[in-house]
Amino acid sequence: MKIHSAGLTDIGRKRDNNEDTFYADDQVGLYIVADGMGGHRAGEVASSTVVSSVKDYMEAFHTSPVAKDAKEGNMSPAATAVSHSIELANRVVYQLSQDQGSYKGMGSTAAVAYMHGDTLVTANVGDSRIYLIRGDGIEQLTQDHTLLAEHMRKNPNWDPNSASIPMKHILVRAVGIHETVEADVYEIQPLPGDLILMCSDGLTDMLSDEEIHQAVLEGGTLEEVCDRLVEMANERGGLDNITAVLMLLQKDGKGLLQKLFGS
Amino acid sequence: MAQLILKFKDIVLKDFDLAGDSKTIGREPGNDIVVENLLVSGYHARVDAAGKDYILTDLQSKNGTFVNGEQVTSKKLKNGDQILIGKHLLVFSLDPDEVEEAEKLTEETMFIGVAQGTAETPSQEPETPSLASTAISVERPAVLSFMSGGGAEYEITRKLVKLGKGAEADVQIGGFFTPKVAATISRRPTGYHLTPVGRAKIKVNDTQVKGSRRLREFDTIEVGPVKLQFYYKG
Repeated sequence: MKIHSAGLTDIGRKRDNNEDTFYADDQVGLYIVADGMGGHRAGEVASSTVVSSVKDYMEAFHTSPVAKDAKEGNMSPAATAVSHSIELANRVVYQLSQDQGSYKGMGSTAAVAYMHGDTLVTANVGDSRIYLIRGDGIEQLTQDHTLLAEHMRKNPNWDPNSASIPMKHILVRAVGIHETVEADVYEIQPLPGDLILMCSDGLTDMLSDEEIHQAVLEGGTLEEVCDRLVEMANERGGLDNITAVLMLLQKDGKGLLQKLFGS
Repeated sequence: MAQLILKFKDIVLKDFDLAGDSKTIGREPGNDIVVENLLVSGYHARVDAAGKDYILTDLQSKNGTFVNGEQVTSKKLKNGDQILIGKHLLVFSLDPDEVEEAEKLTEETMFIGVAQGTAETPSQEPETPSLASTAISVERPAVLSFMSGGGAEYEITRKLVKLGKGAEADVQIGGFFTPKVAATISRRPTGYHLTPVGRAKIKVNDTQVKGSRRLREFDTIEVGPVKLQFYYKG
């Protein structure tokens, strides 16, 4: 499977700095969105550290898979590697926050997508999301690790409007807060024509899944769709930093001759 | 914008935007501002927006709430007020130019350690087990049962299960025309999704699957000569 992607991050309209960081590499098939938190620029440090740690780990795996990433439990080696890359990012951010007073308490979300062969590995910690847009459907491939989502999973009939506190903005899992973290990891069988959208909560707090879906279906280049999404979130108020990474999955472009004679 | 700046021994730990709504302060993880220190009560104090003002209220805490050195039960906050809770200091900071902005919701994302908090505060009400068990379907283990193969079962534990004739397949399906991998079942937050691979023809309940399909309990999956039934375990 071949991937083309575009990504965009925007400060929004209310914040003084952009604590989101994203990464997209179509050669390796690696995509990361991280939304940092913590005062005095620590959020930016946290999210960029997550991106660089995951990137370093996954690039090494991509070049030469190592033994410790062998099939673990119910996951493939690629999924195991993604899980390990987030554990590494957690250790690095946690260590930084321990070593430097001004970084104390900093943390970040992590959403990672990695295309390995014909399998797409998705993983997340926090409330940055990954969506699969396939034909006329949109499906969130991640679960938010927020107090609200956690509570809703346990009490499906509970009315979220009755909350006295903004549970939507309280994370119950984040990278770099504790010594260890566990990411939710899934493996997806993608189909040609699938679109994968990765984003920070600055997008999903402003727009519903249906609005996001409609904006993608309006079409245009991948860059134009990312622009459109960010612009819509800003028009709604742009209360937080907004990041959108959009990937289009296509069949490998090998011609018949190449298939017959190798490449 | 109105903010509470949490400090400990002159080190800034975190800024909290008040943004026109209420915040609770305490040791329990259910608070908006969690201060993990034994001198802090479970639910120690709260700050409520009242128009453009913010009112601090002590929630009958064990060790009291102090503003600029004086113990208070309730007080309207002024710019620069220093709120002492245990050994932690919360500084109330107001940007006069942005007071109108305070009426809009711009809460900072915060983190709370639910697992840790629960372990440290045994007084917290125990979770009702019956509620916890009504989890979404993906957390329920599922099995594939061979309808035409003597009742053998395959429990879906892997994130991605491959069905086919090849060595890489988790569920072995014979048949001359069966591809190495004919279909996959992906286990994810929204449930179990069946996706045919390549041009393999897979039927669910006698209808050929196009694209992919979310499995429902007791769906019958037809792969080559084999019929499988999908259902939840237990």
